[in-house]
Amino acid sequence: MTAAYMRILIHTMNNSLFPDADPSSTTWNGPPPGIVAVQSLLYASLTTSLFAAFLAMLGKQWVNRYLRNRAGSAADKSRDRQRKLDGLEKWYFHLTIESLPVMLQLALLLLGCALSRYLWTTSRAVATVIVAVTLFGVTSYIFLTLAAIFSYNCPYQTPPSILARALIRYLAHNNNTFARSLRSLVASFPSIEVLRRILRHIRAEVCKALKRSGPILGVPEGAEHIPRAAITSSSPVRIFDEVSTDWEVCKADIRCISWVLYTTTDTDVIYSTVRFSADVIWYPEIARNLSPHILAELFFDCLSDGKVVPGKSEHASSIGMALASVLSTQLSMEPGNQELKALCERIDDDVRWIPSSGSTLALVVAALGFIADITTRGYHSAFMRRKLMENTRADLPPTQKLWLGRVILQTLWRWRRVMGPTGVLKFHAMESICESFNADADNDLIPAILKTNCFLMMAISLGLQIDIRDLYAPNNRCTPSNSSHGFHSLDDSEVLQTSLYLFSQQLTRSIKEGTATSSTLNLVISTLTHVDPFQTKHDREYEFLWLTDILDSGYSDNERWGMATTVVRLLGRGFHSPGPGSFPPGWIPPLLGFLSLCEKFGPAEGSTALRILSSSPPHPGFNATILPILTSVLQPAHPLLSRNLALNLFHNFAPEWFSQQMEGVPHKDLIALLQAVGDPFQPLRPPLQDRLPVNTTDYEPMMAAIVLIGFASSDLWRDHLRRSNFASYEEILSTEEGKRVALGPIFHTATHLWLEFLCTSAKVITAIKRLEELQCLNTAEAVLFWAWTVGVMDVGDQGAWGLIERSTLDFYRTHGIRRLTALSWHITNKITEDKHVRFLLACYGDRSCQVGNVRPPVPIGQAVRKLRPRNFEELRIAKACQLRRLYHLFGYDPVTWKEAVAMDEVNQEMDVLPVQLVRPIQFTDWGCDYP
Amino acid sequence: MLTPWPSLHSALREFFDPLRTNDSRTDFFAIYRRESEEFDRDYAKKYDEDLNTSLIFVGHLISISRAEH
Repeated sequence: MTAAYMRILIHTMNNSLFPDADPSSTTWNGPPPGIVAVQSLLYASLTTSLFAAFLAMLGKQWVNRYLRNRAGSAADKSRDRQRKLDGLEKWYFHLTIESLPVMLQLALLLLGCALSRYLWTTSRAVATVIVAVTLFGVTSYIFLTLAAIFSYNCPYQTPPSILARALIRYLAHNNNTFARSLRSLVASFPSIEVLRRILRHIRAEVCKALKRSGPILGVPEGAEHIPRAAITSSSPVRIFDEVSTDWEVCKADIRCISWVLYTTTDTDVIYSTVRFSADVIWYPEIARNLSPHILAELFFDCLSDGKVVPGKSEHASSIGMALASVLSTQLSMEPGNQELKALCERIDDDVRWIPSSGSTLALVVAALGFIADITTRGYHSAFMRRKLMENTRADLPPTQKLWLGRVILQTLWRWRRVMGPTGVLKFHAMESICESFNADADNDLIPAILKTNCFLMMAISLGLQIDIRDLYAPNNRCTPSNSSHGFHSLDDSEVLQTSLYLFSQQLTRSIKEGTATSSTLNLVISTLTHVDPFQTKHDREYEFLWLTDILDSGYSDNERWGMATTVVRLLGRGFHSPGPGSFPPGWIPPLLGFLSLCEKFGPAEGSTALRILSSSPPHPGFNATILPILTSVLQPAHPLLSRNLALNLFHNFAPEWFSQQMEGVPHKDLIALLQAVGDPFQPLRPPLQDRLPVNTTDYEPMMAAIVLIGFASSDLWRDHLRRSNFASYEEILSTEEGKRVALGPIFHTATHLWLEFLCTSAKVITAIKRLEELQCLNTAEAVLFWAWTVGVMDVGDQGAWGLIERSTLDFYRTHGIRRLTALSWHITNKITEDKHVRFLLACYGDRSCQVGNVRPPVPIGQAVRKLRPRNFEELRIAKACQLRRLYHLFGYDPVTWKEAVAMDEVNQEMDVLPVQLVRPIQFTDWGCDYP
Repeated sequence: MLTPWPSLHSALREFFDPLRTNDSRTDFFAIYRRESEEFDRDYAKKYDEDLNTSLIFVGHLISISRAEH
């Protein structure tokens, strides 16, 4: 055909070519045009229906594929099924399937047209029938479509009607540029004013219908309310991102929950679904994906006439908890969401007057009212807050506390966002709620997350500009080296430390400015108990304890003391380490400052600080400033424990202090200290009056004694100590209980020290007399001996000599010769009167008569040499002493003489003995075990 | 260093681990299975009937248009 036309064209231009060409030869010899059109229509109809058949076949395969289950647990199967269902919705499977009838209708129309056209050429009569039927079909189709557009309830829905309704809905509900321009386009044609009116009518009608009976296009009911993940631009407020959670699984779960909630009508099913959702709903990721509307509807189902339907209160509680979680999460993400605000208003109206009865439901209702309150009456409305406060009891189960904490936290957060960064929420109800949260803070079962929630709540209530999301900003991390890995690589404690650091910065500022009340601060700190302050690596991190800031702040002393007490208690709670819990040097000044505050307000609170201070081995951070502070602790008004700790502290640092550091200390400080330490036996007195001490660790006079030794090692203070008043020692001795106590090691030590530094001869005599009365002869002898040794006893004193006479005889009779020898060594250096020598000689004579072959040692001899013998006996002793041989004394028996000579070595030892005893006395010499 | 308090995050994990809520989870998925099977049966039936109708219709249409040829 084309070739023939070409020939004609060429022939026309150049007649010499193709001389035989005849234009008439190009007649159409194919089928007539009518037939071509008919055939085209028929083939179009055929291919369309074939394509529809192909799609139908595929569709059956797809449906089968959808029905096929994967292997795995019920949860896996369910999630897989939900995934497939979501896929069907997302890819408009229903549209694909619904397009089949459209194609078939098109194919039918084409067939009708083709038939009409074909029969028109062959038989007009038959064609008329066909055309009439086809026209009737088309007309009725159009009519049905229009009817379906007008009425959603019309059962004759066709694809064009569905399309038209979708378009109308788009115009009615959307407000974007395209919809607006489309509307203005419609409005710009005055000729279609009538049509527009009709359209408006239709639209109103359709909107009503839509509101009444739900959506169109075959989407499952309510499905368009399911927000898809990542639609909203604002990221959810995730507080604990670092928790390792499979978010994909959680999202799959939440899709399952949504689906069940949207499809089912069975109350039991709803209940168990909500129960499950209440378990997993803590995740913001989940809570933001669940529609609050459906939960609200379910919740309202449980209410009637402002009361809960009897028997449904458990359902209502579960659903209400889930609703509160979802609502608070979504509101905190989008405070300005109008739909949510409308929902809040409705909840607020319905919930406000439900009578509260102290049950779980009442708490849920209060929480819901609390969340919904903002949209209608503003944050200052106190009614629901009070209701919430009343219903938050300390004995709530931990899960409910956790839920409530989360809800309140998110609501507070939202308020902060709504009010802007400068808004400060004076929300003191938080304090009581946090208090009830923390009621059993010592219980380990209470999750730390709850405390963290409290902590954050308080932070927000305080008006601190802390945003938890700051924690995950790279430049705010404590460890810049980790910033490239993201927060997931941060170790738990680092995140915690970072958050504390940020928090402390804010709180420090508010303490300095005086905006934080002490009760709030106390609560904040009490929520911090999951922190181990001893894990701080740097001094800088110590700032979160705010002790320095509190002490330097402008609060009154009483308030400062109260706040600092909380902080120190927190420190003390962490300070259970039995080993050397080393604390940073930065702690010392604030702790000392706290101690001096305690002097004013409560000496008992200081013991924690003392415990911390005295736990560490000698610390270079200490200096002389500690002295006046610790001295005041040693006053008798203080608890025994505090005094012991202070003494312990003195003891720990004694070596350094008494050698160098103390020299720079003002004299009056030291005097005060010595007077305070003064009476180491003071602690013994109160227990003795009331009861016997159970063991010596209850009170430690030893420690005081040891401190005193430290002092005494410095000559400077020895004199002062001697002048101190030690009256209580005598009191101890005078009590009946004291007798028993006196036999104990404490008494020995105390006596020792007392005598060593402090006694006068009169006191020694008193003490020894008492000891004799108590039959503590060992002790008495030792006391006497020591008194001589250190030279506090004057032999010239008549009373003293009488004592010596008595006790020496006693000792001499009951004890070995060694002690007596040692004693005499010291005495004979001092005796001047003959009668004393005679007494001694008599003693020895008596003793030697009893024991036999024992001779008086050299000192006696020296003493006797000074003596003018009055009779032969004395002369004999003196002579013997002069000869350094005492065999005269014992007769002239050659055998004993020889033995005595043979024992000469022993004698030499005995001569040396007193020299050895000059060394400072050991406790072992006293027969006690104390090291 | 001694840590007298449990770490925050161990507590978090313990409390927030979804697998811990086993009871309600099992219940829920049992119910979900029941509900979804019911739903899917209806769902598949609906589409199957739709498609069958379409296929029958297609068959008729094709036979008619073949007859026309």
